[in-house]
Amino acid sequence: MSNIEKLKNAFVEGLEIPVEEVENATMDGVEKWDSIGQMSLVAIIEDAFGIEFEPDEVMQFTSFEAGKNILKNHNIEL
Amino acid sequence: MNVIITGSNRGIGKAMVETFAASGANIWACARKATPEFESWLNTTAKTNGVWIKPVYFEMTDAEAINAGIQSIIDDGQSIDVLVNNAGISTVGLLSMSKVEDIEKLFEVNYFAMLRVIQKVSKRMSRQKHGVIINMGSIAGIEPQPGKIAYGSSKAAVMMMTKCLAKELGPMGIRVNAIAPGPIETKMIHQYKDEVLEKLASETSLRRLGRTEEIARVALFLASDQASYINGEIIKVDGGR
Ligand SMILES: NC(=O)c1ccc[n+]([C@@H]2O[C@H](COP(=O)([O-])OP(=O)(O)OC[C@H]3O[C@@H](n4cnc5c(N)ncnc54)[C@H](OP(=O)(O)O)[C@@H]3O)[C@@H](O)[C@H]2O)c1
Repeated sequence: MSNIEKLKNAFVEGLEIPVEEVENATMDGVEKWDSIGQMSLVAIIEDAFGIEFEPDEVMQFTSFEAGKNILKNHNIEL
Repeated sequence: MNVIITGSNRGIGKAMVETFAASGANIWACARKATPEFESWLNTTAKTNGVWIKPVYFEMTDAEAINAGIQSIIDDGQSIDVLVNNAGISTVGLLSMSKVEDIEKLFEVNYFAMLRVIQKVSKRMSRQKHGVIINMGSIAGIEPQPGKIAYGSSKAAVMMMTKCLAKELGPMGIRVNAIAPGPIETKMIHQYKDEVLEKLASETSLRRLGRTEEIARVALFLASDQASYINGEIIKVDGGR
């Protein structure tokens, strides 16, 4: 599985949304993406990529796009 | 049930290891440093009770060491069902005779180190969608006493942290509670003179100091499904006051 697929899977599992909606997912637009959804989403991504989000990254993580940037900062190629 | 216990090499933490192991729990026994006595005691306790007990060593004032220690537990790949935050230090001193740096150090062990451990472990628990966290508070964080500014405030902070976390983590299926022991017979309390110990005992309705296993049994109860609807509570275990 490619890294981008792994990231999309995390969104599907963590936020319970269909894969087609993942690319446009934002915190405001996805019902389950509240502070609780955020925590499980972060935990799933951390496990999938073997990384650890810094607290300010958790704050900045408000969209799928932001998630991609965070992974890039951790030197994960997408 | 798989349980992390910090400060597990003596005092209340040691009694926790014995009590949890006797109930069939597997344990990551966290301590500051390895000693042959500690490891052989863990081996015997594990064998006697048919459970596994793994020592994990880290210094609570060292954030990187905490991180590495907890990561090694996570890397075991087992479910982490219970975290008992027991390690702590105590001091007595009037403010006029205390250095703020020493109070900071006490907060580092009693409060910030505990937060670091919880921050990492609760992520794992939230992934599992279940978990129990038990923090060691103290009566000293409820009843003001001269000389207890540092210790009492650190424990009050622990107990407020417990209540806030119960609200934050509850929706993820994680219960967070604290135990507030009164005076319990351990090395921590033997920093006091005999007269003080007698006074401490006389202040309790039961007229005696508590025993370590009397705290451990409450922790076991809070960890169990018997306590499945208890969340955000501070359980006083102090012989009545
Ligand atoms: N005893 C009481 O009357 C009483 C009353 C209320 C609350 N409590 C609370 O109950 C908990 C246990 O107390 P206790 O009476 O069992 O105390 P204790 O006998 O003094 O044991 C304290 C434990 O914490 C560990 N610890 C302390 N500083 C550490 C550090 N920097 N890094 C790693 N480990 C560290 C100690 O390890 P080392 O052996 O390496 O020092 C030891 O295992 C504490 O949180 C305490 O505040 C106790």
